[in-house]
Amino acid sequence: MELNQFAIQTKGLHYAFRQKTPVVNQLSLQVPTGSIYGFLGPNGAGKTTTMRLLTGMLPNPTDNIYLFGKSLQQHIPQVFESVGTLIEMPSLYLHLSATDNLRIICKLRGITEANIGKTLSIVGLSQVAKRKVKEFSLGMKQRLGIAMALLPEPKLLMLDEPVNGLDPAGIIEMRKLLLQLNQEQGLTIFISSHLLNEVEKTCNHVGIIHKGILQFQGSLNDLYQNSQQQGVEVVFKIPELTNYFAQIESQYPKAQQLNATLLQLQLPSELAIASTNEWMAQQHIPVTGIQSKQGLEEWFMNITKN
Amino acid sequence: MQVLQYSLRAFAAERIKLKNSGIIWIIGLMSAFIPIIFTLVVAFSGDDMLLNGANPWEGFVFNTFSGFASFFYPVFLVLVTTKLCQTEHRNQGWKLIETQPIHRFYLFIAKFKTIALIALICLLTVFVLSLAGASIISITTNEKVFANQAIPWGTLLSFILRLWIAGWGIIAIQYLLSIWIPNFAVPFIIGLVLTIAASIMSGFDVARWLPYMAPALTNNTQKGSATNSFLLHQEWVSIAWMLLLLWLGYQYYNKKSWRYSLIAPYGKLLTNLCILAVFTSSIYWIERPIQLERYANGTVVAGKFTDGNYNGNVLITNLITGDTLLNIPVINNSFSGKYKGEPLPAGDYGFFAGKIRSAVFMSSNDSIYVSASLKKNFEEVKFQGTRIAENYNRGNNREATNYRLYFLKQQLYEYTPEKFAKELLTIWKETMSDVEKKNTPDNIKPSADYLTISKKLKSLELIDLALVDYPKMYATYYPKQTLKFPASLDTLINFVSLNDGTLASYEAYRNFVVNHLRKKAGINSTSFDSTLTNYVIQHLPQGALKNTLLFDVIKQSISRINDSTYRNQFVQQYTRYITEPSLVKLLAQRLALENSFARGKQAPAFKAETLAGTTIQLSDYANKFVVIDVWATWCGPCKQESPFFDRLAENYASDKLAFVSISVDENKDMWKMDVGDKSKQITQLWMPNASEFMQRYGIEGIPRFMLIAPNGKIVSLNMPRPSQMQFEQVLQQEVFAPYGK
Repeated sequence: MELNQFAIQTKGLHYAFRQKTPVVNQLSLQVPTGSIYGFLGPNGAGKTTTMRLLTGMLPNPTDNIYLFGKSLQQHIPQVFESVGTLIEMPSLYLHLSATDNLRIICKLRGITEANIGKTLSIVGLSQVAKRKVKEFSLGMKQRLGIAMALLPEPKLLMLDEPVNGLDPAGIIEMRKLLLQLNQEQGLTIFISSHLLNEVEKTCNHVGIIHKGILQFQGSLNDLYQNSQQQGVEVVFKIPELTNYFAQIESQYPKAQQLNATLLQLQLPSELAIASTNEWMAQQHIPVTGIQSKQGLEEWFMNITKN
Repeated sequence: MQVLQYSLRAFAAERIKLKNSGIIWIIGLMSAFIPIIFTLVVAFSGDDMLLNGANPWEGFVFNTFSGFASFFYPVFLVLVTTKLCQTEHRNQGWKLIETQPIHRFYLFIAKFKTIALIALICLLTVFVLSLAGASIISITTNEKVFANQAIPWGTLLSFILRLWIAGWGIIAIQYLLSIWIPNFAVPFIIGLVLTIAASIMSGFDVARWLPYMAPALTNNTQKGSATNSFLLHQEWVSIAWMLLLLWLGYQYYNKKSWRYSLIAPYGKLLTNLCILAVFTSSIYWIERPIQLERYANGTVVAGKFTDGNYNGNVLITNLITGDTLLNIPVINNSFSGKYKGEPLPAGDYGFFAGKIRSAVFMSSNDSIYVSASLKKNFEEVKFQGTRIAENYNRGNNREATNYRLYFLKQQLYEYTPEKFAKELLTIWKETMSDVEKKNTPDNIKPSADYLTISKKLKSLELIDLALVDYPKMYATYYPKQTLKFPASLDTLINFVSLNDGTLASYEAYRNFVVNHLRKKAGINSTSFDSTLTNYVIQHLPQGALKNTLLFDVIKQSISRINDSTYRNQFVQQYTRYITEPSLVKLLAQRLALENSFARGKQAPAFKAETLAGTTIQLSDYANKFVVIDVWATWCGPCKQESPFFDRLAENYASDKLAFVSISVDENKDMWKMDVGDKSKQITQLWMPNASEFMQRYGIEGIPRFMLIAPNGKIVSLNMPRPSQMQFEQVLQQEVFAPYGK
């Protein structure tokens, strides 16, 4: 029962191509049921390899992957009854229509073809249902790929870089769709991405992988707190800054004057921005703009550097 | 039930993927090419040769498949398999279907089944198109030939089924390659290269173990088993390869890694090696030639007649003496008899049952099972049992021309004795290994006694080349030099002795011996009879061969010697050296017959049918001379003589001399069709009891021309041929000369 709180759990997952440096190194993922989990890492961090291991597509002799508490190795392929996946490029038969691609899923799973129309409309492809997929744009293919993962109404969705190739409007729509699925149907969604921004906007849980090693895992809030332990850099725009700089420096000794109007302060957390601003107002220092230099991104860049 | 459900699901998904995949075009193009080309060739060349055989439908379809099966079919299988797997590789379909809740085994098998089904559809398309082609040919050219025969569905469909199965091994190996190598070109080229390599290797014995050879081998045995089994060894080999490669392919497919599927953990390795060993040894076992055992409990001949009724007896005879060894009554079209006499040496024996006259290879302790079909005009007999392989070979000894031998013969003068010996020995070795390869479709190997006899008979021509033809050429081109062959040639020359009793029943061997004895004795062909006979008597030890040779020589002399006193004396002088009583008796009969044909004796009476269907007999010509031409429609030399006979008939036919042609054809219709354009001066007759007639007149070969005087008195039963001057001279002397009788 204890295991069941995680839709995906791995225990020291390890994988190396041809006995060289491991691509996935002692990875212990814990994806809570009902979460949207962002699996974050730069290109080549081992995200896709992990995804392929999670779907049994790479040989893994050790019994260390659990989906809904059940060993993947022992329950493949029945475990896919409740799992929809989209890994790397969507797998689509280009010579077939969108409908026929979905029909293949129906045949293989032995499920009704009645949901095809509904699923296509969810991803906005109803208009092109009969067109051959080879005529589709990259974004349409991506959406059809998601439709194929959604068609069997899974409890867990594994998506590898789902917004790749989508235009801004498409990205927003996709984000909405995932949130909706998560909230309305309680779908657990596991997304891999190399975009911090994207993960921040969609996910409530995050795992960060770099060089095969899990650098961080926890909720989005944990992530913020973690990233702000070294404080945040905030830039204030103050006309005629020189006049006030001495006054400010006496209160904030680490203050730096970037130019005639820009002041950079080192604050312990983002919460401190408000109090700093209040203090400026009390001192009658005219602040015309505040820009937080995204500490999360800096921190992310930092842990995924070398 | 679950299994069936999953299989159907996976298969249904595969079927959707075939949409728009162009597979229909591949099937259409690959299967239409050969039938269309073949139909056009037959239509425009009008080459009826292609349709020869009992059934033109069968001939047409089999010939079409001969062009398709051994190369197009394997290439088609390679192409389709690679293409269908490429659909998954290109569209990343594997990861889609493998993340569905259906076991990979079903996915793996479903695709194989789909490919196999496409292969069957392709074969059936070729079949349907070739039937369509045959119909076109039948409408445009050979309507009658086709209309008289039904399409033999059973034979054709079981061949196609076997050809289909023979392709399974290729599909499986290509399936493994195409799953393993994720692009189109590489597995396709490997498959193509393997197909071509196999066809290059087809001459080598090892080729029959390869899956790529199976369709070609099936095609070589289009009519199927000689023992009524459905699948032959090459189809079983294909099935075994299929099982092995599907197992291996699935191991890889399941784990996508050779290491994890076969080796790691190491315990697996042992199991897998065992499985591999079982498969490979079973493939070896399937392909091993079968050697039938003789039975120790006597010699039995049994069998049955089909497609008609036969009420007479079945005779097994000694082919030289004509002695009946076994006389078996036929009851309800089946018979069975046991031979209890002296041991029978291995060799050819006569098999006689009404219209069926055949030779059967057998020896003591054999069990021969005979299936004889009495289908009108297509009578045939098959010998099975312990000598099935030997008799299958006797019946199917159509051989491809040996071009090496042909060129050697044509250009003897180009070869030095050393080069000649080397080439001849190479040809000999090839010929000997060809003899070894003559297994039946069921892979039953002829026994050693038969192989030894075959090898010796096959060597005769080559020995003649070394001892007769080459020396003759050498003496002409290099008159001053002495011919000296390298010692290596002795193996060939000594391979067949001049005194081999086991070969006595083979005419080719007896001719060979006579030739060489004559050469040794320095006898030319004109001074033949007594010199040669004396030589045989002096130089050959007592035995079957000596008896047979003497019999041959004396028998020939009987018809050769005109003077009856000398003839009787000759026969008397030499027959005492023959120790076989039945041969002596035969010669006595032959002599008596020949003596009864002397000038002035009474010719045997005969009755024959006219074109109008009335009967004519010899006595109808009691008051005139009659010149008789004995012929048959299938006899080439007879047809050469025919115009000469026609011309003479136009000139000489009168109330004093009648011209008569007697056909000894079995098929009356053939005779009727053939005599339309002959001279009206000749009375055309057809002889219903041809063999009896020929026996009574001592006719052993046609054409034969005979002159009979009024009242049936013999003038000559062996006239010169009409194309020779002497024929006309005889007519003038005997019939028209003023002192004529």
